[in-house]
Amino acid sequence: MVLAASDLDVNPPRARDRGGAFRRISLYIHSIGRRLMEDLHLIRGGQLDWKAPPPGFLWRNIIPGLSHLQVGQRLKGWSYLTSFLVFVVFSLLYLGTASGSIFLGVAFSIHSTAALDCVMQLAPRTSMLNRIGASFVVSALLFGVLYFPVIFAMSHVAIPREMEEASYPFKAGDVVLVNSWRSPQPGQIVLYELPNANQDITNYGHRHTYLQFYGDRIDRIIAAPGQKVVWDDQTLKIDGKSSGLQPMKPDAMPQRLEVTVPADHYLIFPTTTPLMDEKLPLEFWEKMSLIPAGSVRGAVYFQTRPFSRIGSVK
Amino acid sequence: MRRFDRLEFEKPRETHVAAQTKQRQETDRDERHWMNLADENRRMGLYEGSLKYYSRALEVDKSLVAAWVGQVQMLIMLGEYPEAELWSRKALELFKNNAELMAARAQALCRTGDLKEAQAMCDAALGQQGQSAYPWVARGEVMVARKEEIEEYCFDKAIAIDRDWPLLVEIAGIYLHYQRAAKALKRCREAVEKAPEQVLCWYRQGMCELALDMPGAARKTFNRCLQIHPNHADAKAQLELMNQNESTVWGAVRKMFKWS
Repeated sequence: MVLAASDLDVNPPRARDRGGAFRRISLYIHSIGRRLMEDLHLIRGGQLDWKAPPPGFLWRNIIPGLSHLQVGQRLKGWSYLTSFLVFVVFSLLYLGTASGSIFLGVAFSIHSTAALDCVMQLAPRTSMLNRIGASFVVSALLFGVLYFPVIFAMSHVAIPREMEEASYPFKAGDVVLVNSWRSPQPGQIVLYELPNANQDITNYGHRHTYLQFYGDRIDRIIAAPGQKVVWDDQTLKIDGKSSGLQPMKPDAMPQRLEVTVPADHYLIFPTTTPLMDEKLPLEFWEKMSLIPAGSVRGAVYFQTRPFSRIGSVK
Repeated sequence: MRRFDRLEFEKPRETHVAAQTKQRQETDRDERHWMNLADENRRMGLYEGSLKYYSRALEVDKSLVAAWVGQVQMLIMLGEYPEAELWSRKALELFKNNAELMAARAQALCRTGDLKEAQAMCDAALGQQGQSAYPWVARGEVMVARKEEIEEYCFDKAIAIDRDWPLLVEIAGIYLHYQRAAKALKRCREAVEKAPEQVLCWYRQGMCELALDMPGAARKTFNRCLQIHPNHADAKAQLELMNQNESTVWGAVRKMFKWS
């Protein structure tokens, strides 16, 4: 009687409901866990032929082929190792391009295959279904434990940047690496965003011609916030002391320029910006040289392409 | 077109009264009515409808264990095993140690692959007082899933308790689920002998014949389904699918090298 009167939901949950997918996934995970536990039980009872992996098996899989070499599978080991290294080198050489991504993907596949081979050699059951399942787990583990942290770190320390247009000393298509984790310091060559600015360059007549400046540029930080800078005839004085720092293209600078760097700004003379030359007014130079700290994207430290000019950027 | 066809007038009083009466009748119907409807649908293989009517019966009387069991069984028939397992667990919280609910849970667990738990639940169901066919069916299913040969004994036990034809069809369904089509066909033939006028027996037999790669026999069986029930959607769909398969090049090649 109590039950008949109680407020009970009498409609069962359905597979198409919101929780249906979750129930299926949890069921799948449960079944994997159950099977592993059953296998463990069989292994303990000696009913399943399984040997514990040799010591160091796990960390050796960080480099593909190393585990194979350890147990004397030389051909497999060297094949995995060399092919992986070749593709890693290519992916680094072509970093920041579509080819680079493809090479990295192939390197990851080789790594995953090598690790899967190790796992399957040790696994008590080697059916196709187990192999497919193990390949997913191994790939996910490799990606989560090794590749994701490395890619995450690299995406801050070595962001590849391809030059869309020629900008002294770089040419269109050149690729440089940018480190966004390094705090900006005077003397560093950095990638920064130019302040959006227009300049009227009309000399005479009624028709006005404007130069519009915007976009990302690469140049050297000359001074930090609060410093007083005097540029006079190709020599630089910072806070009254002469300095060896030079913008990347000193010839483009005006004859004399005096600037005091406000707080949260850096002084970067935009000498690599096309059409910035000594003819432009000094006020405009000052405006374009004071870059807010937030507009400095990171330090440019290495050029990866073209191959003929690989090396550090100075 | 007549000039006043699209004008809206107040609905006639009679229609309103008829709707009210229908609504009253609907609320007046007792749980026995909904259970009968659920059973009718189940016997026709309309499991979705049957599930709905079991729920309607429970709306009237929540203490109806047969309706709870029916819901779980229908969820299993519809292939919604995690839901069936969840629902049987909920029902068992209300009716602890009910043999049929335990058997339903065992069957649901078996379908989700948890044979160990299913076996335990099944043993518990058979240990309860009273005797019903379903725990033996569930036990038979666990045996089939475990590939143990004594499942026929369990199913025979169940048939000895419940001699109605739907049980045979449901046992055939279990065999079909575990790809034991030959054994399923045997049970289907028994069902057909018992109730040749029931479309579900024929349809399930057709499915067994299809599984055994006997397209000629299956076609005949599905046509028999349509003779009994000319609008049987599943039989029609199966025939259509067979026609489509045979119209492909691969289907023609297969047909050339087949006896049946």
